[in-house]
Amino acid sequence: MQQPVPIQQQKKLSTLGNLVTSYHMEISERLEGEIPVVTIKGDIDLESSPKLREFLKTKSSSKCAKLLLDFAGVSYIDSSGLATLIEYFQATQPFKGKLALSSLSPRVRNVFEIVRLEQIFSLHPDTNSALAALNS
Amino acid sequence: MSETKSTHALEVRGLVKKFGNRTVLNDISFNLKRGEILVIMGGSGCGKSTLLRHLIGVLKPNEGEIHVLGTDITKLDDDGLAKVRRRFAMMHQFGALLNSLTVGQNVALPLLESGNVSESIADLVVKLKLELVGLTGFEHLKPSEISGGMRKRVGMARALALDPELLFCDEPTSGLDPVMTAVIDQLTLDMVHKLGITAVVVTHDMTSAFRIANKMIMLFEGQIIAQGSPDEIRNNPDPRLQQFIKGEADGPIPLKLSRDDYIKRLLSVD
Repeated sequence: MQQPVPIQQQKKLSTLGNLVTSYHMEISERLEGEIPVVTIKGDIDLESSPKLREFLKTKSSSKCAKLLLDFAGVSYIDSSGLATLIEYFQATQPFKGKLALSSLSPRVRNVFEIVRLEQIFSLHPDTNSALAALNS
Repeated sequence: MSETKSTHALEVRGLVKKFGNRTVLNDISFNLKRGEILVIMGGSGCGKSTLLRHLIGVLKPNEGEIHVLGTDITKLDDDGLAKVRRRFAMMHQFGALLNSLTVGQNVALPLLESGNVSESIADLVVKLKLELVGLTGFEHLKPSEISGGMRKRVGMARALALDPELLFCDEPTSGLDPVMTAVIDQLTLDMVHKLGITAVVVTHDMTSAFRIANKMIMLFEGQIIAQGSPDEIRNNPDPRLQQFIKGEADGPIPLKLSRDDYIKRLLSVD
């Protein structure tokens, strides 16, 4: 198993290898077998969602077959964040890419459920169950 | 959402507003905790709309402080006010939609004006917001092609477009049938209970007010005559409050000015 890239608190927008940071959000990536596990920390909002979008575009461009987004460190997601995830989901349809999200806090899960997105996205209580779903 | 948070979404202290010699708001003080719904009620001309315009920073008081999301907006310049305004939204009484634009374009306006959102993301957010208000699939219609209740819901979708922390609603259920009123009320409750936003609702509709409020304020002639929980308001013996809650024609709330005031106003030259 590849170790996650250490995350540093940075104040400037930057992309350093597989570490992406913004004011409120940090993204890091590791592999669990063949599956990229992307850990997001902080707020996904108007300011930070363009960075997530940019990151996910690289995944859809490379036709990433399976992707796990670990939301354990996500304290808040706004509608632009939801739209960013929907856009990625749309982009994966032609190549039948699989996406799973894990460890959403109750508050973040509410944001998905209030617009019935739990019916579209594969939401899991932890990374193990999400990985199992992606491998099934 | 990550900025410094006080426990109160709103704190108003000693607010006084005068138009000329007339005091329209007199020593208004109250606060509202985050995640609660405040209902402001009172008869026509009691100062509700003037108070609301102060809370959203359109009017500045002669005296007093208005802390919105932890910042005293009475001391801010235009740039500072714009920063706070990005964190709250206003749902106008009649939706205040632009008739030349479609429903979807109306909801997308704040997103595109923010400058941070691409059109494709804005289109998806519009669909999410219309789903929220039960209008999925209506994005291509014009405001003139939908009912008044639908226009109000589009107005709410637009107010929620940027995911505000604090939502101000001016008469959100006026002119709606009881079912649509319940729909709007439930939507307000969902926003607060599920998404954690705070709401300030100005209304005459007592059924709606008691259904949604955590806290209520009664304004009368520019002053707060009662504030408290719905139970405290219901049990408050003030006859002006009871007349308003029960919607009775007879009582201490005057329908007409006194004879002297009437003659004075009739014969005065502005």
